[in-house]
Amino acid sequence: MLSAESVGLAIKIVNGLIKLTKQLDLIIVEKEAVEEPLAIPVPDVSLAPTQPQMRKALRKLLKDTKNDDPDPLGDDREKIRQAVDVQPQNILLFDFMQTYLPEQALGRVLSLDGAFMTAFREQHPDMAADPDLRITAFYVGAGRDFRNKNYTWRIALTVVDVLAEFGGENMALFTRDERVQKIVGAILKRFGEADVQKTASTRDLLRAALRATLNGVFDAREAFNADSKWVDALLDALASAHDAVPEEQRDDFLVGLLRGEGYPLLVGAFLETAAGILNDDSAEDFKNVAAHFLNEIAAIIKKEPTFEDFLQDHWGDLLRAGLKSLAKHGPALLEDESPLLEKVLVSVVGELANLPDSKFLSSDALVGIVDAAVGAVAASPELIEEMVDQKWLAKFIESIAVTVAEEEIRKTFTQEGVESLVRDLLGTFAEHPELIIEEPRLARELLGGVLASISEAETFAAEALASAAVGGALIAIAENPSLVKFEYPRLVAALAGKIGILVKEKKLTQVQAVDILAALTATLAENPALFLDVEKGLAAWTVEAVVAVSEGNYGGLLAGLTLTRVLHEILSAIAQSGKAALKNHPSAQFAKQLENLLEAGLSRAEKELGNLMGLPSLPAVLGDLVTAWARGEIASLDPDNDNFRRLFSQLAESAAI
Amino acid sequence: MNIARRLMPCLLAVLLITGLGGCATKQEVTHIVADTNAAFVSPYLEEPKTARKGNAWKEPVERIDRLIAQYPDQKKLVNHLRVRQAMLLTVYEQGNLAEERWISVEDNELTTERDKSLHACWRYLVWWYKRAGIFDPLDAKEIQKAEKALSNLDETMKNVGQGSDIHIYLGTIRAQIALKIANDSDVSTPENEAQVQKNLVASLEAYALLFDPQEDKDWIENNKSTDGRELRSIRDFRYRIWLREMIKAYKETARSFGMQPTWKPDWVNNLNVD
Repeated sequence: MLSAESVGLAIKIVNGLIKLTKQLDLIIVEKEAVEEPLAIPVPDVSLAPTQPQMRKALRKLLKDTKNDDPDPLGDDREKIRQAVDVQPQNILLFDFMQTYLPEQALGRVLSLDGAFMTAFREQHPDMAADPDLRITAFYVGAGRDFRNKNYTWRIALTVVDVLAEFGGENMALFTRDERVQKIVGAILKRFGEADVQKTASTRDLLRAALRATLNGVFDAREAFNADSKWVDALLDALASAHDAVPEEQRDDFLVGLLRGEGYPLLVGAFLETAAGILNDDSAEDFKNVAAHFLNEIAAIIKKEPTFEDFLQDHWGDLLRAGLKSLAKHGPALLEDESPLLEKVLVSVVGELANLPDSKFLSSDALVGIVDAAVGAVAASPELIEEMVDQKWLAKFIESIAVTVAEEEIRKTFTQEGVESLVRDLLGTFAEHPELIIEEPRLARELLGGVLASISEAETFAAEALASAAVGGALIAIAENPSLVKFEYPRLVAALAGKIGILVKEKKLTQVQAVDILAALTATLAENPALFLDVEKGLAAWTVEAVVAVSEGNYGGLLAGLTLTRVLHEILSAIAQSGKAALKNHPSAQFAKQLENLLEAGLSRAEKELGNLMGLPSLPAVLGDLVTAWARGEIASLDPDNDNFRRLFSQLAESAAI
Repeated sequence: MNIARRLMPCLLAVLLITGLGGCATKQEVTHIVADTNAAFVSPYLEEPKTARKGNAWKEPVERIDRLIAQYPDQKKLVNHLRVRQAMLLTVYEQGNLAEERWISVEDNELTTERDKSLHACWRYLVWWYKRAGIFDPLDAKEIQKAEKALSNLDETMKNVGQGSDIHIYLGTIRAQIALKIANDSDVSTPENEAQVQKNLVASLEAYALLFDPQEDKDWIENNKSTDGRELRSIRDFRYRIWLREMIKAYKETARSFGMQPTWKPDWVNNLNVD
């Protein structure tokens, strides 16, 4: 770790260099020219035959040609004999070889890089096909720098280099804003190891820490308060996690964490949320929680290497969620030797690593999961034991992960659409923890059920319908959590699927379907015992009857929004008088009789429109008609029957008032 | 405050330089680095059999000249780029042009062990890159020069990190020159023959000791990793091929003399590289 004095000095140097923009460019250019590798091949070596080889070859030549006439060696015969047997001189021998045995004179060639390229192509054809990689193979690194400029200077250059990546505006911000300097100083203090310019991994670590943290700082610069102890706490937690990993892996481990997409967002959250809302006293406690959490990440990565990328990308999201929960629930989450927040975070990451489907969870979903889990535990502290023992947390996370991972769902819905639903769902859970305390699988039942059921309907309006069904159901469940006991989610899912099919069959428009789903989710909640316990088919029969009538001769009256208003009124009427209706009208004939009633009502309405009533009062009149029918007050469903006619007129008149 | 005192002159020097000169852009230098590296190895980007040295050196050399002409006062930049340029000309056997560039390099402006070492050996490198490809045996004068090259390389290698790229590069050039000397030696007397054998063994031993004794040895014996691991790095792969080929060449030279030396380290004796 660098001393505070060295850090201060490095910051001053960086400041000085940045103010001199041209000098900065020069330093970076010089660094490039000095440090970049040279791709040097070694020469091929041509080796002549050795002296014994040449003597042997020439001796054979003398022998083979001794009887030739004319003598092919002429006057050279004696010279060759002298050179071979009396006074061997390599230069002379080689001359004779070139003259009389030119092919043998070629000897052999030692081509080190030629052999390398051949072997490279044979053994690693994919890599050898890449010209850039081939060039890399020849690199001779610059090696040690003899200048012996001190470490502070070199570290300052590294800072300058990283800042230069962010462009002129942010470099200038560094010189102006002491808060940015403080943060850079804090990073240098923790990760500016003395041998930063010698060890590649340490250099990478400092660069990664600077780059990632500054990314977060620059993004959150409008609101941050760097005077608090929170950024220090974050960096301390990272440094402590770094030290806890075996030495040979620690730099790589931390570089991996810093490269994760969640880290800059986490920095931003620390600067904005923590520094703005939370008390500095909690920072130290949070540091310990974060450090333990990071140790857990390291252990999981070691045990489950396939989760490394996921955890590197998302550890920042999880910790950010912890921060959000802290801001919401207060420092009590950090109290005790083993704080609640730590238990939740460690448990969440453990469960995520156990679930292969968790890889499909987005950053927002992870934040939502932690937020909701902390909310549940804060509301019901005894849940912390169940989290692990009774697999409460596993059920909760799995119910979301399995839903977003399902292939059919991912085929039907866009990623953004599902993420938005998950976000809303988890937001509601966080606001109403009681929903998941009793039923951790609620996400699967509601969201998974709705999405699967709409997905089966194969309608183009899937996302709008899912949003209406889930959104409406969440509002209803939040207002009346006991709905969960009545299998409300399952019924909503089934009805959403039915509505989806009606849209696909063009019996309903998308706008109508969305309104109907909103009405359905609300109405089912008005009398859950009736719709969800006494007769689960009631709501579906009602929808079927109304839609069937809208397709008939009176369709003109039930167009557009009128249809949804009519359905809403009728559902409300059934909610109020459904039990009586079921008593007076057996289940098997319920839908058909309701359809007949509505047809009779519409037939009368057609005649009375402009006389006793206007179109806007049609939904109310039909609703009242259904109430009367439910109570057994209508004996005949003939629109021309005197009693029916009288009743309808009364209803129309009172609706007009 | 000691650190502050030590750094201030440095900072002041930087400020002074700023006042004196303009500045090169990073992009220009980045291009030069990339272009020279591509030019260095362009013969090896073709199939080995068809590899020929062409004129790939010309453009990067001219670009470096132009850049240096623009920023003559930026000493470190100029001198390190000169080394790059001179080395490119050396590899392409452009003796005179290379020499001219090497002479212009100011050694005290070089800061890295690679560039300082190359500069320290440049005369022998220029000679060797031109001479290595010629079959003719070394004459007496050349043998003298080659032996001086060995001493120069030995001396230079003492100042560079063991196992660094430049260490292995210089050690490889040294082993090549030593092989050529041995190959072209007069072995007509038993004394000469004994000396040549001794030199061959010593040179190969010195070369083998540049590498990782166990891992590289195992790899060379099997021509691949025995433990099923992926390629450690392309750099290591290249160096292992070099070591294998060098051992093969030394053994072949010894055989052509009818020698059966005891090689060192021991593992070289049992290695079947044919």
